[in-house]
Amino acid sequence: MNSLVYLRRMIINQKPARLDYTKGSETNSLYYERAGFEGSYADVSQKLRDIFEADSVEVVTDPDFSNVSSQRIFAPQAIASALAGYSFTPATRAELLSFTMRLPPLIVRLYPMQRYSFQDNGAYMKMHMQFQHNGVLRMQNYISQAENTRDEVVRLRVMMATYILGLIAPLNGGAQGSSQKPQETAKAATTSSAQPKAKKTSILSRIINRIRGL
Amino acid sequence: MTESKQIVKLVITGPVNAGKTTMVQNLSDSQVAATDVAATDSVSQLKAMTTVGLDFGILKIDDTLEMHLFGTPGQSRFNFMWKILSKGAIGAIFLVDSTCDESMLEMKKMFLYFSEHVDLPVVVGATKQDLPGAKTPDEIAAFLELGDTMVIPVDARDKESGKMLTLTLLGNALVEAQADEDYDDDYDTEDLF
Ligand SMILES: Nc1nc2c(ncn2[C@@H]2O[C@H](COP(=O)(O)OP(=O)(O)O)[C@@H](O)[C@H]2O)c(=O)[nH]1
Ligand SMILES: [Mg+2]
Repeated sequence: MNSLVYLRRMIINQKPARLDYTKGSETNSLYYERAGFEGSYADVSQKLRDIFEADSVEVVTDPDFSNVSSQRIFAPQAIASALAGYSFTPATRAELLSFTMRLPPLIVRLYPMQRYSFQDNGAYMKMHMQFQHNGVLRMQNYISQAENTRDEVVRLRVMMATYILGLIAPLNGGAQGSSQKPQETAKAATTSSAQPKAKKTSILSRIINRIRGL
Repeated sequence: MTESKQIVKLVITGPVNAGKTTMVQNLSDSQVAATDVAATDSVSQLKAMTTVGLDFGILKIDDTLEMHLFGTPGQSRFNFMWKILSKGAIGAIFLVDSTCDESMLEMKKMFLYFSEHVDLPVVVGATKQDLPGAKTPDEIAAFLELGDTMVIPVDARDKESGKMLTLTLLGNALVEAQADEDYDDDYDTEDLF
């Protein structure tokens, strides 16, 4: 799910940028400037959905804005609108689940998404409560607690929105990778079941990637 | 290379004529050199089984991982095979011919055995939805008393359709694997945040 990473970067950097993407045989661009995406409501929503499912994505900073429309949709609004009623193909779902798997323990920030008609605001609020209660959010748990297929779609949309908008962030400020190595080794030695299971998710992700490309 | 390869299995099962052979073919690499195939303990066991109509295909995932696809004979009398097949399997796909009552009845028996004896992620693919008299996925789910198991329309002849069914299973498997994973907090998040 590279497109999520790029969208997030674009929004967080707060600098003018252009995102070029290819979906199927179509190549298109989405411009970002001053906290918003360029274009009409419908246009931006559709482009964002295409970007979620894009085959390739690239971000160009320092783009040429000369022939861009004057209309701009504020990022939270645009994301909320793109995700409204959005459901996934099995391929996109599998990709989103693979992406989720890679997320570290997280903090969740509170943001007035209801102001932007975010349809899944209730689920987002509950996710935030879960974070407050535990002091950490494991996105993997959050997604797997879904009660049914519909609920899973909602939770995945909340993951997408909060990730792209920077409302979730690593609990350990992103530095946990190397700093926890010794601890991890000790843990691996004592809990024999930890290792093979951790490998299983990575195996499944690799198979998902391969099958998508068939 | 061959020595270090890891192998996982995908089992495609269901009654006769449901589309198993077709689907295994569609999802497998068309040409696999015999020397490139990693040896498994089960290969010799499965050789014996091919005499009873087992489909076998290989999908190379990457340099260190291979997926072996097994299409198993569609009769409940071959239920014993699960013992061998489920070892190292990532999941099971049941195919059922949506137009055939006999197929449904056999499927019900097979699935009952499966749900009592095998603990694997599973989805049901309802084939031949394009043919007259096909039962809907909902009707099939109700008839088979599948509970939470998903029933998804699939055309075994269509590669994309088979991919979608498989990706649904893999997605479910991933959710299950994540749910009981022990966190080691070794996340490679550099490119994510
Ligand atoms: N019309 C139609 N035919 C299908 C579909 N899926 C499979 N078939 C056909 O059903 C027949 C039986 O398939 P096969 O793979 O041999 O079934 P198996 O006995 O389970 O291995 C073949 O002729 C397939 O082409 C489908 O969705 N629609
Ligand atoms: Mg066959």
